[in-house]
Amino acid sequence: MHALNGAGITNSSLTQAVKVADLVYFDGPIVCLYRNEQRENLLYSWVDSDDECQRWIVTRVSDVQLDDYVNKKSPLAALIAGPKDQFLYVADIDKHGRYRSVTIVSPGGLPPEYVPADDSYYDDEPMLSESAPREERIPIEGDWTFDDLSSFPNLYASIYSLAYFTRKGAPGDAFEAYPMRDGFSSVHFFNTIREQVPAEDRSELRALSYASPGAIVFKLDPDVASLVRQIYRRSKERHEDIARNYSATYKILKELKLLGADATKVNIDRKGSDFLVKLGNDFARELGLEYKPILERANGPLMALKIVLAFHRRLLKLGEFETTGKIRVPVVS
Amino acid sequence: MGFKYEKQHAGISNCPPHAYRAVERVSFRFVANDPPLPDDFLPVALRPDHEPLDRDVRRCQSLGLSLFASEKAGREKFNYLRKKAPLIHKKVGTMIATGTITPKDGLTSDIERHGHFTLHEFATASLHASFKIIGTL
Repeated sequence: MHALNGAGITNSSLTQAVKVADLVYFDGPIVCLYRNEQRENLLYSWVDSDDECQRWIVTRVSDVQLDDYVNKKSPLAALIAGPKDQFLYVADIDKHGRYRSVTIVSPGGLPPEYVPADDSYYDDEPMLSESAPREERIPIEGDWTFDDLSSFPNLYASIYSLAYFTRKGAPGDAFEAYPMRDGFSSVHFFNTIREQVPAEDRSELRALSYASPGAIVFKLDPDVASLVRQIYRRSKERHEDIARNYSATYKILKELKLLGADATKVNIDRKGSDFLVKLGNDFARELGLEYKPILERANGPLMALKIVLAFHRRLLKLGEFETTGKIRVPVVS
Repeated sequence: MGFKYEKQHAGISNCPPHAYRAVERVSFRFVANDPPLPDDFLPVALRPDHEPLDRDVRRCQSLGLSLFASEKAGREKFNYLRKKAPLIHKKVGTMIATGTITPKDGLTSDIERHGHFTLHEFATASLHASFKIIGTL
């Protein structure tokens, strides 16, 4: 491996850090996210290896830097060139996970072969580790009204709960039949499915700190929380296509006089039913949501379609919290 | 037909995943040797530098082989990785090889994002013998 121009340290606090996710993985981890005991983000980026060890550059990154990287706003090169601490760690780790050496180096002192390309932008999905926390910490800022404080946890739990059924596939109970002809039905539907999520995985508000920067912390299943983040990011990236698709679907339902129809009672022939399934499937796919589990549990294709449309409206509300600067949906919990 | 790494599959749930199928498909793989050697087709879980994984889905994946459905997809992935880690060839090899996998070779995933898929080999598979180098990375 290349010689390093830096200062070796012993008793590095890195050894206490816990892996949260592999951000880039191909036949082994390439870029990983760890957290230390202070819950700070440490980005591990593979740079070299020999027969004994894998060599990683480790840099402490803020939540915003991490968000910008995973959301393709800044390349890996920027995190390596401008570390939060003004220096980088280079860690040689053996196959048993032991830190054989840790060296502090300046970004300018790295061998050129260790420096990522200027356009080293992210294009992967984080893969969570078993040790990923069973909680989601959503940073909050700005002026929160009492209404915000009461509505946000419900909104998040609604999105999480439907995502839960698409990801986990269990339990097998059907969704309770709701007419889904107005907003009240949707609210009742989402309230009900929240209760159908098994207690150990149910989204629960664990903490709320309003100090700036504050945070809302939910207890939940990390895989589903990851899915929610993916869906949310996707809906932001493709919001124009999704809005167009939503509007077209809405118009079709209006034209067919199904918008205000009771989804549990309306009679739809086979052809119409297939058409509604296709509409729902296409829209769910646009959102990155698996449609089959929803269709299987819903009381017919009209209810399933309306569930997905209502889910989208909830994503938009979540987006409003972010665009008004009240929350920042994290990349990794 | 038995899998090549059946012993390692034991204790991992849904491995190989139920959705995997036997297919015939022209495939591409990063390799380090010309002609390819058995080591070029060793799943990541069996490599000496392998980091232990903690989740069944990942443990299972690491017993499969990473392949691409086109040369273009393989090269794009390599370039993507090289932008993050310029010495990535030390991990994955410096050449790209191609061959056709058949239903007798094992079970594969669907072609995933960016043209990647995974093959869990049957015990009789011997891909290194049928894959040929087509270029450097």
